Amino acid sequence: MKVKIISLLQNEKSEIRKAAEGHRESQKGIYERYAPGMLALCQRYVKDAHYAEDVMIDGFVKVFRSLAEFRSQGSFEGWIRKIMVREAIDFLRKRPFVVYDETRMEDPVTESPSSDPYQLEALEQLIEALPEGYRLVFTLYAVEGYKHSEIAELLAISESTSKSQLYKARKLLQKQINESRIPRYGTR
Amino acid sequence: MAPVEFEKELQKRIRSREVKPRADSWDRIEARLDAEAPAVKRGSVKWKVLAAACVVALLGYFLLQEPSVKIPQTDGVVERPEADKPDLLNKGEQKTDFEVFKSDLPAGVASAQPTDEVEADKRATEKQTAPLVAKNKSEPVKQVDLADQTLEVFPTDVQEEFKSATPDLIAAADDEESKDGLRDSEVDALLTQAMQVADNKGIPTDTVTVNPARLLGEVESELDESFREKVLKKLKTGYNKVRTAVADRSE
Repeated sequence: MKVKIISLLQNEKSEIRKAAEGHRESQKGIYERYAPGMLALCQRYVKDAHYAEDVMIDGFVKVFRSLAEFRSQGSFEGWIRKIMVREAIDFLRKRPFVVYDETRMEDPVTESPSSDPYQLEALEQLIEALPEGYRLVFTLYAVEGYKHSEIAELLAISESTSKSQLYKARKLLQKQINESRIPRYGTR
Repeated sequence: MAPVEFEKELQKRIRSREVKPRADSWDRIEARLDAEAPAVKRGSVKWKVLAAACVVALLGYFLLQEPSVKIPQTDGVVERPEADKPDLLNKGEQKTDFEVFKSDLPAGVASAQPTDEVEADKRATEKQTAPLVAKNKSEPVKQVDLADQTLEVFPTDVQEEFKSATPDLIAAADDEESKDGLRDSEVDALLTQAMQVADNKGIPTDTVTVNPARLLGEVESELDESFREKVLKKLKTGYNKVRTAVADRSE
């Protein structure tokens, strides 16, 4: 198993090196491997499917243009994801429809939803239905794993704003779960 | 605010989601990459051309700089190269040439030559003496003119000094001529006197052939030679003085 993983990593390194040198087939191989996941990522930030695809294409052009800068210190997928997230955020910055609610934070959420697969699917739909500002911060924090300081820098907001957005996103999700009566774990 | 449990599951689930892109997505990326690649090449060619132009410009600049050696400026006195100087020393050399020319003349050869060659010598003397006399008469004036032209390169006060000295030199030469030289009438009188002495002593005059024109030419050439020598010597001395004065002044 370990040998197989090492072999795969070596193949990926070789492909990355070739792609960095401009080898078109290697670039296409990288694209075909990562494009579906990156398009899903872009769609989490940019709801419109066409715009999301434009963002993904711009992101891949940047990836291939700056492949020589990749130092193989972290995961290649993580490096591509960061480029895609930045590209999506830049796209959203150019469109002033993201509004961050600056109202004061209330009590923290105490109840957490279940991790049931059915509930999770329903939760995804609820997340997509969140207001833009909430959704952005929630996705960056809960899905991509960014810290509040990083989110603040990415979105050009303060850290407290990032925290309040996350709190409100969670509270709204909880309210919607309660209202939509998503079945709790073990009740179905 | 600790991350709630469901968010971890949500993260796994959401990150594993995939959406198949449209078929032409890769074509669009490839087109963008192809469009950028020639632009990079054009840019590199531009830089190469620019670098080459800079190198050529620098080479041209340095090549043009080399010949432009600064000539040290003098205070109003322009020194001409020795070859270009129409100085009076060169006239001295001309004199030397002239002397060589004169030494070839048969003027002083009359006594050494046999009698049968006297007529040929007479013709040669007549041919060469006439232009020689004319040349001797005109040359001092010509030399003064040339000296005037030469003096144009000197400051005005030096020119004035030289011009004031020249007539004195000529006058001195004329005095020498009048002192040492013989006039035609005197020569004729001497010849007549000699003829009379010969008649009185009974010396047959038919045996001695005397050519007055030849004698006259010989005397004149001797006079002319001394005159020229003196004038040119004076001029040379004067020129050397002027030259030394100018050199001292420019220092």
